[in-house]
Amino acid sequence: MHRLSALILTTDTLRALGLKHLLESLFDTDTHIAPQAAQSLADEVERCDIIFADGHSCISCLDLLIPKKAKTVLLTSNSADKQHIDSWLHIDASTDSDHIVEQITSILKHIKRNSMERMELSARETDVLRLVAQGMTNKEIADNLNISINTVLSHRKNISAKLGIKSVSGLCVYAMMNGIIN
Amino acid sequence: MALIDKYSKLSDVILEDPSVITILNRFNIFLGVGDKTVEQACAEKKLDTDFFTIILNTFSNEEYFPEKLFKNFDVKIIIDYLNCTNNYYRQFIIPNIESHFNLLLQRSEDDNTNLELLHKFFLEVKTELQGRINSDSSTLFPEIIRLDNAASNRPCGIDVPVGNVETNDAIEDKIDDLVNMFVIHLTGKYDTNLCIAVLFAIISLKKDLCQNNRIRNRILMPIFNFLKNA
Repeated sequence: MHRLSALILTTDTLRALGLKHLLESLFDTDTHIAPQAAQSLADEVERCDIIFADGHSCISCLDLLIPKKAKTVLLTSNSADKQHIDSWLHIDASTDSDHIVEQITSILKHIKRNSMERMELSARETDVLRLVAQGMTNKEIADNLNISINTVLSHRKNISAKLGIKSVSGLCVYAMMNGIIN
Repeated sequence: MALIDKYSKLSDVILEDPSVITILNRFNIFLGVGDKTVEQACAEKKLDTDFFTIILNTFSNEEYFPEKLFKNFDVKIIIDYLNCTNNYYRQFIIPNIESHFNLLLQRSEDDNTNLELLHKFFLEVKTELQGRINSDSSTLFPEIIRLDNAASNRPCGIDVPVGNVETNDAIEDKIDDLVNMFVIHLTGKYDTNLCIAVLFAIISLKKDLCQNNRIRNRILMPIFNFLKNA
């Protein structure tokens, strides 16, 4: 099923490694530390559920992070930074690990609640699933529903993420199990 | 799990991750290992200790996959292992899932069509997996060995490209789907114990296939491509 994926953007390697360890061992996230120069950064930012970025990274990747403000958490070691930011994780040399875990729990609770709300298929996704299960190609589905192929692909990606089913045969079985097709 | 080395006791290895028993069986090592170390067991069974250790480590640790070390081994030893793995699927794990699934269907309510649909899906996965196993033993593996013999001066490991290999696997995806359908979408009345037995067997196949596909897709196939173009 969908496992939260986190991206860490910071030049502080030790802090990044410590945070990655906590996120993976206690919160079962799939966590990547991204070098800021990576060409794939835009893809990673798009794909992940949550981004932890320090101030320096926020500034250097501003164009990428502004559209993703809702899922970006500022990594800060300075309490003054927090006053202007909605979501932040405060870690400095004196922060104890329980407090860090508490902060992450609170941040992830919000993200997980949002992602659970998205688990039900929308009416349009059900239409797409029905046609996939009937064996139609993406082009045929797009023509049938008067939408673009990109929209079909996007619906298919969402359907797979919500149901935890990737293969066409699997989707077909799910559609039969749930009376979407006979 | 901590990495295994030649001084590790086999009993500790098994107690730490019992699923390695199925790997040990592929090397003719069975339960009742006493206090033998990896090195002693390998000497007794005339196994390559380095290869045996690397297989155990890659099976038990998802994060551990030393591609360069793998590519230094003789391709025949890799193929021997993958052949044993295929035999394990064909002779043990697929029949095991099948027999439990048949019992599950027999003992579940007649109107539980969901299980029948899942069973049909499993049969589709089984057919695909068996097709791949047959193709491995009749075509792919003999062809790789033939090419390797022809290029007997292949410098082990150094020229074979690492990484950038297509690792998506349709069979793995379908087994994933099957597991998720049991866990998330199953409805109706069924025999709980048998259902758990089926699910555990499928999950065991999923782990095995996933770990061993790494060897197949990231080691063997690049060597094959290298030999073809050599």
